[in-house]
Amino acid sequence: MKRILDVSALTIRFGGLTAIDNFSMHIDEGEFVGIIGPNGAGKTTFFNSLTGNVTPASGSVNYCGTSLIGKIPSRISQMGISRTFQNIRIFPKMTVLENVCIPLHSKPTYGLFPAVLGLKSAKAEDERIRDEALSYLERLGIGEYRDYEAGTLPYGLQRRLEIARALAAHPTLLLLDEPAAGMNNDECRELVELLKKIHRECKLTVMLIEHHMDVIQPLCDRLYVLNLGALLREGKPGEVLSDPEVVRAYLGERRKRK
Amino acid sequence: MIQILQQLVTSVSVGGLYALLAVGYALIYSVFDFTKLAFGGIMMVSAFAGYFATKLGVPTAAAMLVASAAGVLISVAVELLAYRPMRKRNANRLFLMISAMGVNIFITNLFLCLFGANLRALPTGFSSNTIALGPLRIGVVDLLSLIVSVVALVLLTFFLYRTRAGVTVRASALDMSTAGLMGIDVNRVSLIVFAISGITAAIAGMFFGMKYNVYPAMGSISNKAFIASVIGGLGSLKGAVIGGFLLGILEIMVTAYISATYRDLVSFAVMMIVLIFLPNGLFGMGDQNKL
Amino acid sequence: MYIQSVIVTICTNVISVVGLALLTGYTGMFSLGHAGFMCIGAYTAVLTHLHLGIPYLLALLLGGLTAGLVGLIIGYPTLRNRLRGDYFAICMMGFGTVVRLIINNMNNPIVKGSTGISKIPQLTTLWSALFITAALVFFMWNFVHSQFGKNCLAVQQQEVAAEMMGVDIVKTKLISLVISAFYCGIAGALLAFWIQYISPNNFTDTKSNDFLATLVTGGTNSITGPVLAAALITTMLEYLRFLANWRLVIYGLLYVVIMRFRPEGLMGYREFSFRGTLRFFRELPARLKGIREKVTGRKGGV
Repeated sequence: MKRILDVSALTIRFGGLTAIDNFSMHIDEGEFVGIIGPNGAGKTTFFNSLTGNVTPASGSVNYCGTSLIGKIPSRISQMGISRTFQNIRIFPKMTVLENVCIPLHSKPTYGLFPAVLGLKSAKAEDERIRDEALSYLERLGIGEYRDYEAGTLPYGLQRRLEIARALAAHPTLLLLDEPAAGMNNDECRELVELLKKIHRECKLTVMLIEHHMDVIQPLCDRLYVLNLGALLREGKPGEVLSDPEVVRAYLGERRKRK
Repeated sequence: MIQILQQLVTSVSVGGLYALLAVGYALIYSVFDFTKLAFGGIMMVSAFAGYFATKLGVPTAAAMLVASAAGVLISVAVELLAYRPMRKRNANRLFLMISAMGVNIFITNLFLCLFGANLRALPTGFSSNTIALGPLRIGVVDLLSLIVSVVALVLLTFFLYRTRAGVTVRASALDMSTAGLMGIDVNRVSLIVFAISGITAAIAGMFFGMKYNVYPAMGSISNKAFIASVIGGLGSLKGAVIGGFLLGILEIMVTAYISATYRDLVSFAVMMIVLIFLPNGLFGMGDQNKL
Repeated sequence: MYIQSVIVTICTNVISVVGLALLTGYTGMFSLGHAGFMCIGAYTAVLTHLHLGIPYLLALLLGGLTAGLVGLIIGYPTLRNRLRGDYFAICMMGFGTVVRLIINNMNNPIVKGSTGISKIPQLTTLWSALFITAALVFFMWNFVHSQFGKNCLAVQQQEVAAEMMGVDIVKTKLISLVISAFYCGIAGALLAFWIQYISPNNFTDTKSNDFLATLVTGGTNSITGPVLAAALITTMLEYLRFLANWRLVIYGLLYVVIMRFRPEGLMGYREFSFRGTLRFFRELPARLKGIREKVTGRKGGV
């Protein structure tokens, strides 16, 4: 099996604070891997370092054999890594459909002159991209909201929109940062089914940060547990979640959902 | 040699005033994350208040207090009327900047229409006096402004690092929403910060008024202070002070040895060069951990 | 003749404001130095025409291109490191002043420093101005509705996400800066060949403020809004000349009030259409009634 991501001895510092401490991990093609850990464990910082938003102090990050360190986010996105954000970052004043179009034409598919002259070929290209974007919306079950202003959607739908937008970037590796935050049990179950379907149909490799164990357990092949920036445990969900040290660091302080 | 020393003394005193203004920028930027472009106007209004007070026979030291009161008043009024309602609505930073610019344009031109563009000398009685220090002749105003700005900066540092209110300001600068969650009254912090920036603007305005003149367009001096805070690194107090002194020295040297007409050009050029090689200024923080 | 003059002035303002609309309204960058680009465009066009014999239309284009090139040179260092917009704003503020300073100090027989260049042939006509304006507005309309324009909007609304979705932030910002500089350059050149006299003092900060005030009034994320506002405000200023000294006072207040109560401007995120206008007037009675009820209701509540 092909190794998609190989992180070794990654260390990230903010001033005097070590946010990630000597963390190594890897992910193979088609895997669904979870990253868990208490708040402030450095999970989102880890994602940020993969997407080029944060520069590590030391260590290496290799994606399909190429180093990601020093690359800017747009470049990394074009290499096939896409993500959603913990604190939703949609384009609030654009329509839902336009939101999903952005990754499809982040590198415009026609030149400046066809754009300025409003040529038929450019219009046709726009049409094609809208159709493709719509297919992602429909896959996430939010096709009917295509013309809504994205900022006016309810919270849960905004999270779905983020996933649709991330998929439209044609990723190989998808990073999901707490997609179930603020969702109730029914919505969580729905989300699990949705993610299963997407993972299968789009042949994706997925990395998931989540606190809801009923989202983590049915989805993830393997888990990494971070605590205070360092790796605490790694393994299959069943083993990891029953590990007394993990329970103490993480689940102990957090009442498990019914 | 003596001539260079003489220029250096002048430039350090101008630098002190730049530093004072730049600290105002840095303070507001660090807490509210936006560049308040209205400093010039506030500085000018305070200088006018000081000017009128002096005209009425108030002694200079008391006129300084009048100017500071005016600075605090207008700075806080602008915060309450313009910025706070916008922040409540989570307005775009761009909009806040445009609004601040609007305040500046409004105040400056209102005074221009009301009082005309003419220069008014602040009648202190000692503006042209000098003190001989060996072969050097130091202007009383220069000396005074240097002393006052250094004292003000020391007091400000003391306030920020040694008092409870100062700690709340620093906490808000690190993370406003968390500070709010921890029970810090963010609105009070904003009043403190805007009041302080009003005082620094007023002190600088008074001394610029004594050194040069009081006139409606004098606020454009604050652009220099902004350059100083950019050179030092936006949001860094230490950087603002050092940037202020550096810029003061640079400007006086350019004026003395090249030409006054190129002074502004050189200042902007230096800022561009700093931005190219030190994108976050000398002491600024990157914003990567704000994500 | 007077009416013609007003219309040509409107045209040049429309071009500049539409250029600025892309930069500020769509990409979300703040500039108070665009009069500098106008100045560069005007001087380039006039000098190449007078001394190199470049024909009128080509000179206009050359003026625009030079302004665009200067925009690129100014923009690259400030935008390159993904710096905050504040740095860009102050650079642009300095830029406008610096351009004026440099030309003022070029006291040679060609540029003529602060004296300015007079006796420029009047080559701009009402029709050429109208035609060029219409064409440039049409191009901008297409641009902002194309993939490029949507990327600009994405950068303005959520820069981090836009970049993560593959949008090249630096390139997008640079393109909008260069295009807006190009538009201002052309506007400056057009104006120079109409008023027949230019000096650095034609292009002061007041001019930059004119543009920003017009844009803010017309609305961000709209092309028709700023166009309408440019026409309205220019006409108003022509007929209310006694306001001249108070103009900037009003602008300042306008910025603050609009940002406070309606930051998206008159037409923000919308475009003008006749159908929409008809609908607005049809619904007006109902809306007024709603407002009245709100007001009286609030009174009753207190």
